[in-house]
This record gives sequence, structure tokens and C-alpha cells, in this order.
Amino acid sequence: MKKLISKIAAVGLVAAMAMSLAGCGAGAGSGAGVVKTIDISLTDEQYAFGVDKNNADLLEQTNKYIEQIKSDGTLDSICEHYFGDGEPVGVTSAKEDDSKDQLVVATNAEFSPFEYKEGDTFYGIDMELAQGLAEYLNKELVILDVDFEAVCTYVDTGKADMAIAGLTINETRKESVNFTDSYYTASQVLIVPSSDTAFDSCETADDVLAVLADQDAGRIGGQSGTTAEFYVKGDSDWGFDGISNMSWVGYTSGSLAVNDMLSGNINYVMIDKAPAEMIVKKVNAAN
Amino acid sequence: MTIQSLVTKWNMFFDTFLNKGGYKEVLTGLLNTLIIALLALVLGIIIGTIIAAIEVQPKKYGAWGKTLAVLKKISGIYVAFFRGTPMVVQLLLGYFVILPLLGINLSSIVVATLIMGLNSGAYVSEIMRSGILSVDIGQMEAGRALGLGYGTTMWKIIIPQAVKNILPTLGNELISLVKETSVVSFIGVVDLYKAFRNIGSGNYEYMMPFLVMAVIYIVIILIITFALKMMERGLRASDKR
Repeated sequence: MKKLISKIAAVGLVAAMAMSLAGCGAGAGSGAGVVKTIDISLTDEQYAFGVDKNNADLLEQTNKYIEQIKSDGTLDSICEHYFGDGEPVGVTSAKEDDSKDQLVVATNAEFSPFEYKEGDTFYGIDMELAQGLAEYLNKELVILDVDFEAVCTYVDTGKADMAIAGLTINETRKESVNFTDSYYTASQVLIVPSSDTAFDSCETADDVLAVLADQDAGRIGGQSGTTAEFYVKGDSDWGFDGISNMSWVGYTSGSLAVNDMLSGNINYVMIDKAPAEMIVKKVNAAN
Repeated sequence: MTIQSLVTKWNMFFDTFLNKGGYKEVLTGLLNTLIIALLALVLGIIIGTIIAAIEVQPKKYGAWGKTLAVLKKISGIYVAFFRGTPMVVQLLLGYFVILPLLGINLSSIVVATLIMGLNSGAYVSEIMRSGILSVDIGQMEAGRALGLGYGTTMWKIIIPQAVKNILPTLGNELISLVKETSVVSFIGVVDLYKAFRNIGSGNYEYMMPFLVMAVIYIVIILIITFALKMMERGLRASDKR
């Protein structure tokens, strides 16, 4: 019996290795990276914090904080930690405790450079902003790391005071949360395999859309619940027409979508620009 | 996907795991997974036994008979609901719909344990019912003949024997629960799956985290299986089988 099991295990292991080597035959032998972003902004969005609708006071104070960090350069210097030469500053979440005065923030820590986790420490522009806000309000910071689609629901049901998750301002979301003033301008971009040349001559978003429309029916993937999903599917609330010959495939995070694109299951990935650059950097390093 | 890229991926994972404190989250996740599964099993057994005892009772008449009929109906609906909906649906319903409507605020890990316990109760009730029915009817007759009430006979004679019979199936239920905890991240609990997802998201590299996660799940289940075999052997000592 033991011999049989060990034989089966050996065969299984070899099969798994063979499949993984064969499945990605057209690998990145050239060292130029396997994916790249098409650096053309497809949208023009504003990120803001989503605050509990029952807490007008918190909204007012948060807006004051945002105004302060914009004018005294804190926002710029925090962005420098991630886009420039700075070092990311770690943020830790306290344990939720009803007896203490806490700021409970809901986020989805799978969206570098805005929020991500290394071990049990949070990093990211949004996370450092949350820490600053908690200090400004003299409260203890509690971070709830949940699925992105649930972030606004957490605020709506009172389980969190606010949502700080690279959240784009949008009418539908306003039904669950009140948005603060914007703190970041963002946009969607496409991530494509590095061997793809279809977009080389594109200069504007319309060029990109034209190239996409020319193609056969395909699949665009990305993180579920993000702006990209509505852009591809089309949504009257967001004001997007949708991309008619492309269907949307949702994943729990952008990087899973990129990995699936490398496996050939989807054609392109659409995600916000800053995370796209981070993902491309890391995926190219790992492949 | 070359051997070299696989090695790079492993190194990235190992680096996050060891140097950047990834192991702390994995330990928290592991603890949560095991605690939720075990507590849910205990809750499930308690609820399951009560429901099974109700379902097994023959129809009675009079005032007690009417209450019994109502109890049977309620337990029927309970079992049908918890067996008829996926665990994820139950978790989301409980955490995002029912509790806010009732205005109760419980921590997500408590909600996860409760819902999984209720779910488990529905399945365990059927397991328990078959266990009770498998005990020789002579045992009930002997108990009643000795003058013991229905409840006492059930509790002290039938159910202990029933439990011995269904121990393998209860073990299955525990294994099921451990695997089902992988969806509690939907309501914000850090379980084993979520811990590895976080490790993966830091590097945007999920291959190795997911592989290691699967191996850890298998190891946990093997340990549980082994422990159950030992317990069964101990209980069977009196059986001479």
C-alpha cells in the first residue's frame, strides 16, 4: 500500500511540474518583463474617504484634515514614500474595543500603493493618511481589512466609521456613504502582455477604445467592484458606455487577474494607474 | 514559467513569511480557523442532539403532543433552511442583513462561530437521528421497563451508544467545518486562507502562498483524522470488535 501511495505521489508531482512548465511555454526568457501597462488614462476619477452618513461631525473634521494635509505638504510627502524615493511607513491596527475612542476604518489591503499588508503591518498612502487622521482626531486607529465590495457596506451598517480604500467618488456609492473632499486624482489603465503590440500607436483613450473595438470578442479582468468593472460593463450611474465586445471577469484582487492573464485565460486587465504600475513591477520581478 | 521563476517566487514568499512577519498572520489565521471549527462543532452537536431527540419522538397526544408537533415543525424548517442554503449565503445574510436589522452588533468571529454552529447543528441532527435509530430498540424498552422516563433513557442509555456509532461521521463533520472556515473572510475574519491571501497580495505573487496554504490544510486534516482514530479506538475498547 505504501509503495503504491509513494508511486502515485511521485507521478502526481512530476505531472504537476510538467504541466506548470508546459502551460507557460512562451515565458519571459528575454528578461524584458511579461506584462506592461498602456500608459493612457481611460478615465478621470477622484478618490475620497467614505464616511458614515450618521456622522456629519466626522465628515466635517475629516474634510478639515484633508484640507490641512493638502496645504502643508503632508499629502505630497506621503505620496513620495511610494512614488518617489521615500520609505513606506508601517501602520498597525489596534484591537477593536468598544470602550475606547477609536476610529474604525474599513479597507481592502490588496491595492498597493494605497493599501497593502506585509506580515501584520499595513502600508500604503491610504493607511498613512488613516493614521494621520486618527492622530488628528485624537482617536485610536482600528483597521478592518475586508473584501473591496464590502467596504462601503461596512460603513453603511455601522461596523466601520469610514472607508479608506482608494474609493472613487460615484453616485451609487453615495447611497451608502458620504464622501469627503477628494484627495487624489486617479484613472484606469490597461495592463497587457508585454508581447502585445496592438496599442503601440495609441495616444488617447479613444485610440485605445478603437483598438479594443477592432478586436474579436475578448475578456478583460480586474478587481471586482472597482471602477474598471463598471467601465467595461457599462453603467449609467458612472456614465460609462462599456466596451461591447469585451466581457468582464472579476477577481478578488488585481494581481490575481494579471496572473490569470499570464495563463492566457483573459486578454487584458484594467485597474487604477498607480496599482497597475506596482503590479507590473512585481509581476515582472517574479516571472 | 521557468524553474528559476519558481525559485524566485518561493524566495519572495519565504521572505514575506519569515522576515516581514507573515507567519504571525498565518498563526492568527490558523488559530481562528481551529477555534471557529471546534466551537462550531460543539454548538452543532448540542443543537443537533436536541433536534434529533425531538424528531425521533413518536407522535403524542394531548397538550404535550401539540407542543411536540410545533417543535417538530420548527426544527423541520430550521434544518431545511440551513441545509438548503450555502454557508457563504448564511454568513452574509447573518452578518449584513439579520444582525443590522435587529440592531445587534457582534464581532465577526462570534457571528462566524454562531452561524457555522447553527449550520452544523442542522447536519449533525440528521447524523444524530440516524445514530439514535441505529441503537437497538430493545435498549429503549429495557430502560422504560426499569421505570426510567423517556428523557432519562434517551440521555443516559441511548445517546451515549448513538454517539459511539456516529463518531466517524462526526469526525467528518469536524473536517468539513475546518474546510468551511475558509469562507469566513467574507465577513472579515482573518482565517488561514485570508492570511495567505494577504501574504500574496503584498508581492502580487500568489502561487507559493496558495500552495503552502493547501499543504497546511491537508496537514491539519490529517492530524484531526489521526486524533479521531485514537479516540475511536479508546471508545471501542469495550466493544471487542
